[in-house]
Amino acid sequence: MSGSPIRVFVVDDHPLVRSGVRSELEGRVDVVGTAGDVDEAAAGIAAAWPDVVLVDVHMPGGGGAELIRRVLGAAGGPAASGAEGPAPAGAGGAAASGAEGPAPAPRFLALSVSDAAEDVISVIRAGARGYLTKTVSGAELAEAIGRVAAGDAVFSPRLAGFVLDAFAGALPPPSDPELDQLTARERDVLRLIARGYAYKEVARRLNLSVKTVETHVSSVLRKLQLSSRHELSRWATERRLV
Amino acid sequence: MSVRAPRPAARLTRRRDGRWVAGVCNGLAAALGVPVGALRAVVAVLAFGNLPAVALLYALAWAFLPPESDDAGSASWPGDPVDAVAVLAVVVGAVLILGQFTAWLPAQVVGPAVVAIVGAGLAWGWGGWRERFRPLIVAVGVSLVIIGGGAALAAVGDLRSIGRSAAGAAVLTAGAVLLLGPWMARLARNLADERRQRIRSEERAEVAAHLHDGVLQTLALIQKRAGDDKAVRSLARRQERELRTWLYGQRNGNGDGSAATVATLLRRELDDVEDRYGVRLDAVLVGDAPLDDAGRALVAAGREAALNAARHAGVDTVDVYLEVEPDRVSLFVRDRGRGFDPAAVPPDRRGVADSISARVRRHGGTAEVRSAPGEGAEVELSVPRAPARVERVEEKPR
Repeated sequence: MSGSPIRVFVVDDHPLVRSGVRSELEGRVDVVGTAGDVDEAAAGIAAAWPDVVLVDVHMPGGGGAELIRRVLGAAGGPAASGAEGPAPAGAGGAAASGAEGPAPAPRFLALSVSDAAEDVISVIRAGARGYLTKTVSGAELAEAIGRVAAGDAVFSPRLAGFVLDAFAGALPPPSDPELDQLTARERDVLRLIARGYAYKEVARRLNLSVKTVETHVSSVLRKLQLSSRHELSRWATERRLV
Repeated sequence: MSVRAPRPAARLTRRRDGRWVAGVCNGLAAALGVPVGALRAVVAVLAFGNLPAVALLYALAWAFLPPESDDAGSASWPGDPVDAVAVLAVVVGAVLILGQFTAWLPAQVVGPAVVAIVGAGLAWGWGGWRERFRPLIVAVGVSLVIIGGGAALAAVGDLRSIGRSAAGAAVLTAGAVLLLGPWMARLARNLADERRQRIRSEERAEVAAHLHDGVLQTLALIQKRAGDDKAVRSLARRQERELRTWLYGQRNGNGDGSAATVATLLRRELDDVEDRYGVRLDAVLVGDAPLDDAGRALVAAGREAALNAARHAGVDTVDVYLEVEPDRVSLFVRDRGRGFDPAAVPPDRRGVADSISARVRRHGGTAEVRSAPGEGAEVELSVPRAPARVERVEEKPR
């Protein structure tokens, strides 16, 4: 990363988790603040304006999805979270975390013990750039934070599995093929991630550059966030799989 | 749907499928184990002899027999509109006949009485038809009852005196409602509150019981064995799994211990491996399929692969990925452990070859082991799927 360490804000209603994450990230990133509920977090994030927010899915006051919506809503919609798309051209110049101009909106990385599909899908659709379970190691977490800070998406094997499941089967014709279907390549990438491959390993396996893998994953994330594919939500509520 | 399947020890219920009127005969026949046609014939003959009595009995049976348990149940009394209309038709018919044959019930009473009964039927039976029409229909029904009743009474007596006493009754009723209404409303509200509270406390008791039986016991065990790293991890993992199952209602087979699908069987085998070896198997399962021989072989091979990884790779976690596609089922077991050179495995160590590859090959599948020293290992298994065949096999025994 460019010189200064990434500034991270940790939101979790369990003090034990907050201090645990803080100590695990010690020396890897700069933890600029923590909060235990949605209101406190919204105020803290507005004040500290970090690069990345680690957010718990279940919290008093509406949970992670509510916090993301509130912060990104104040910052000018989810487009400012780094999702490609009709982003206003002046919104911080995409991922280039330049020194001038308004600082880009914080990016969110969901961190949870819940593996329930509806939690995962709802927090991603609110605008989170990735989803990790709390069992990840400090090193993995720091790497994921770096990736999210750079505007990329972070898919755990579990999330990749959810997406494959949600987009599986083309029973009803998709209303927007661009958004409602995965390309064969995206499917390949997701499969390997679901099998436990890191991005680097995926790239080697498919003879792609890591950058291309990241592009594919970001594109899947965008589909996940914007697709109107109604099965997505129905599926998430029906399939309460772990 | 096993419509024709004979039910052992059927309860006395009304049966909706194949009913003529309200399902009374149908249910009775099912409970007695006699053909429904014969029963209907007997009822028809009896009705020919004494229709009002039979009709009354029928109406009573309709009112008191619970509907078949698989629909909404007794909560939806007085049944659906078709039932109500059917029963009403019977009762009205009976009253008409009664009016014909008894001297004290002249024809000008029978007519309005029919109107009144239809009105009552509208109020009680059709009320449940569509929630939003309910008030309208109840109002129409009640006015029909009042008109019909008034006309009937007018036919037999002095309308003025009846009107006066009716007014008196109305005033009394209004007074009673004014006096008692708020109290009744409060009582109803309290009852609802009480019920909600009871449900909540029952839920809390269930949570407490679960936490006590599972989580607290495990925490106690963990404290006792704090020195034993591996045991603690495995205890915590097992408890985590149990809690997740309980929280998210994950389906783990049929309860009787038999797994019905590939995913449930795989999950159970993986849980078993986790318990034995204290590794964490991170499983991602996409899709599911009914269990057939190929699926069983695949899961068995996957279990061997996971066991190998747990025993030899020297890692804490192993990734497992199952994907069910329309034409095949694939299973991947991957570790980042020490790895090995697949070509260098001596032929006498046939573990991998026999228990993994041969199992899936026997079912037309493929097995591939990818590994290199220091680079972990991945076992890739796949069996073809024949959906049509699978379903036929499933249905044959019935």
